[in-house]
Parts: sequence; structure tokens; C-alpha cells
Amino acid sequence: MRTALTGFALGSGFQVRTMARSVDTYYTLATIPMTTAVLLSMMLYSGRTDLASYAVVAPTLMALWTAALVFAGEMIADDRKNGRLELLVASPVSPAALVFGRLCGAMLVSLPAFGLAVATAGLVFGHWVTVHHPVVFVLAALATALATAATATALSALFIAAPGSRIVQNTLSMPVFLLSGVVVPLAFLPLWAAAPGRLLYLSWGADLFRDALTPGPVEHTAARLAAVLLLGALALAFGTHTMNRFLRRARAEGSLSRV
Amino acid sequence: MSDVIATVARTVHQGTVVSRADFRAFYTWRTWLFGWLVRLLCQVLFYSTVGVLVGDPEYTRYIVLGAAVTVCVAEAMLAVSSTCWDHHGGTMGLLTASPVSPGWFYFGRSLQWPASSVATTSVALLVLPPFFGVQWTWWQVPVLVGLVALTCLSTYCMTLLIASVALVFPEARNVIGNITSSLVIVVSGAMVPVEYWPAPVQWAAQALPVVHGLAAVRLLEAGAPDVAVAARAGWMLLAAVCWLAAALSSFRWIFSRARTDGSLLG
Repeated sequence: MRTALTGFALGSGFQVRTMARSVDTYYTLATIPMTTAVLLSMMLYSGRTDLASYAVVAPTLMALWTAALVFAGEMIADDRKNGRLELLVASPVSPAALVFGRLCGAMLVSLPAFGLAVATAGLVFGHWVTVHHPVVFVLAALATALATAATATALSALFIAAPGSRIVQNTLSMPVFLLSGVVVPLAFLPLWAAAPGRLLYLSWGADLFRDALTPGPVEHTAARLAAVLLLGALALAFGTHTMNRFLRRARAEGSLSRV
Repeated sequence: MSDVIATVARTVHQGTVVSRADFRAFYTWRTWLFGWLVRLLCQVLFYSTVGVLVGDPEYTRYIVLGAAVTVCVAEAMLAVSSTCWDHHGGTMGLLTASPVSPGWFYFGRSLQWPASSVATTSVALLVLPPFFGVQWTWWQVPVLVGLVALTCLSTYCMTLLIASVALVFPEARNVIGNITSSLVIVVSGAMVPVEYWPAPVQWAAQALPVVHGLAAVRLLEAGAPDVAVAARAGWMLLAAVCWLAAALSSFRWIFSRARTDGSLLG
């Protein structure tokens, strides 16, 4: 447990320091104003100003998931390129905790992402978003960020164990945005499309975010937060198990250089 | 004159050799079909479902056509990245020293993206819109594919100018490509009519080939006279020629500067 906590703290601290000078950070944030503009213009053009907050929530969640895919994919490759991977594997800290810590640090990108989306909606379209339920909003943000980092840890483990699966890094963005209802709630999709979406933590997080920005009461907050965290915990358990098993084998066979 | 054309053709062909090799290294037919194509189709559905959300079937049909055509923008814009790959491949010095026209070489070097986007955009336009109430007649299909091919190639010409700028800032290639792609989608009339934006934005948008390509596709779908469709296609080609001329000049200037100060070799 102590090595896991040490790994988590070291990972998140390292990630926050390196992220400020990483091009990947700005890659994630660069398109937020345009995504907000596209979605918000669609809502306003069709006269649905009541849905304007959807156009602010969606780019924030899209930035979170994009950051998860980018960092989960590049992290191990960068460690390998910079000669850190062997040292990290040889160190006593938990590799999965280290990766999870780094990805939690990467989730801080959601703060400027939300700020950029809000600023675009306000400054370009004159539509300022009100957070009607700030406590729900903060809890939803924390739970969704943790679950994203956990899911990205699972992806990272998958990328190490099966390098060929890195092709999904380029392809997992839009299918996940669609199936998890980051802009259009799952209730609007046919049942066969909405059902798998409910297995994605992002669908529960997106619903909570939207509810936090609408004036009506938020129902079943605790249960929905628990769904986000539970799905994140399952992903983290899978990631930890896969990574540990792969590294055990790589140590035994001396095959780490093939990662 | 024929010598000039033969030289250009040879240079473009040399670029396409790299282009084909890159594409084969990037995708297998399985990853292209089940990864890349599925991702792009999901992108079209992602935007189209906004029409379902706002509860306007007519607007949904408008969006699905716009989102399908702008698939070619996202894909052609990958040329911004691939133009910079020679920085990492260690071949930039050889290219700088080479006597070929750099612009024509780079025209051939990333042709895999517009070629692929003809297929992805055509599939997106033929397969998804019928689910949202858009019906194509059999005679419209070849015209539609032709318009898609011209739109992809025209958008690629625009991308080449952006790519020449990215060549100077290779670390920012993905950011430059993504910002440009998103900006084009915002103002192209894909999701909301061009007239929705302020007048200066509307004027600037007329320089984008995809604006005219998309308008031509919408006219075709609405059953407009052939001459109206052809006129929009003509405007698109005119814009493409202007972008290509600017891109060729830009590449020539960047490489002539690099030959004197080594600026591309850092």
C-alpha cells in the first residue's frame, strides 16, 4: 500500500511538472474553443438555448478523454525512448500506481478545458453558463477525472502488453464520445446503442455534469457518482492486474526491451 | 513545356512512392476499415445526433450531409503531420539539397490522405444520410463521388499551404493541423449555414474549397439544375488552384531559405 501511495504521489507530481511544457497538453486544449463554437452554434441556430450548457460540458469531457488517450499512449513510449522504463520497472514502487498517478496529474487539463469552453460560450456567443449545483458539479468533476485516469491506466497496460493495440489510440475517440453521450444524452439514442454506453463511466459523468448546470433538482446523485467510481475502479483493477502480470513475465524472460 | 510537365510528373511520382510506403506502414486494410473508417463514421453520427437532440428532422438532414463532407477535411489535414515526418526520418537534409521542386514533391508525398478520404467521405455520404431521410438516386451516385473526389483534392491543396508553415514549426504540427481542421469545420457551413456567422467570416469562408464542395453536394441532393452544381464545383477548383499556387510558392521560399541558412535542418 505504501509503495502504491509513493508511486501515485511521485507519478502525479512528475506529470504536473512535465505537462506544462508538453506539446500534448496544448494539443488537447487547442481545439476546445472550436468544438464549443461548433456545438453551441448548432444549439443556438436551432433555437434551443436551453441546451447551451451541453455545448460547454461536451468539449470539457472530450478534452479529458482525448488527454487520457494521448497520455496513455505516449507515456510508456516516452519512458522507453528516454531510458526511464527499465529504471522504473526495477524500482520498488508499484508501476500501476505510478502510471495512475501520472494520469491523475494529466487530468488537471480539464480545468483549463472547462475554462476555455466557458470563455468561448461567454465571450463569442454572449452565453454565460451558470453552475446551479456547485457541489454536484465539483463531485462529478472529481469522480469523472479519477475514473478517466483509471480507464487510461487500463489502456496504458493494454498498450504495453499488446503494442499492436495502440491503433485504438487513434480510433477510440469518436466512438466513445458517441456511445457515452457526451453531447447527446443516451436517452435520445436507440436502446441497442444506449445499453453499451451505460457500461462507460463517461455516460454517467456526462449526465451528472449536465444536471449540475441545469436549474432542476439532481436526482440519485450518490448512486450515479458511485456508478462512475465503480466503473473506474473496475478499469483500474484490470489495468493493475494486466500491467503486473506483463511486467512479471518481462522480468522473468528479460523481454522488457521488446516493449 | 512538355519537359516541365514531365519533370513535375516525375517529382510528384517520387513523392507518391513515399506516400504509399507511409500508408502501408500506418494501416492494414483491417485497421483502416474497422478502425479509421468506423471512427470517421462515428464522427458523422456524433454531430448528426445533435439534430436529433434539438428535435428537428430537417436540420438533422442538413447536419448529416455537412458532417459527412467534412470527413475529408479531417483526413486531408493529416498531410500537415506527414509533411513534417521527414524531420524525424533524417531525410530533410537530402530533400533540401535535392534539385526537385519541393512543392510538387510534397504534393505527391501526402497524397495517401486525399486518396483515402475519397473512399471514407464517399462511404459516409452514401451510407449514413439514408438513415436520416436523405435518399440518393442511382444517377446521383457517380456525380456525388466525383464531387467528393474534387472536394478532397481541393481541400488537400489548401492543406499543403498550412503544411508548409508546419514544416517550419514541426513540433506544433498536430496542433496546427487540428486547429485548422476545426476552424474549417466551424465556418464551412457544415453544421450551421455560413450566413449564420458575421459578414467578414462569410467572406473569408468563400476561400475554402470545402464550402463550395459542400454547397455542390447540397444542391445535388436538392435536385438543383446541373449547371448550378457545376458552378459551385468550378468555384471550388478555382479556390484550389489559388491555394496550390500559394503552397508551391511557400515551399519554394522555405527551401530556398533553408539552403542558405540551414533553417530546416535544426
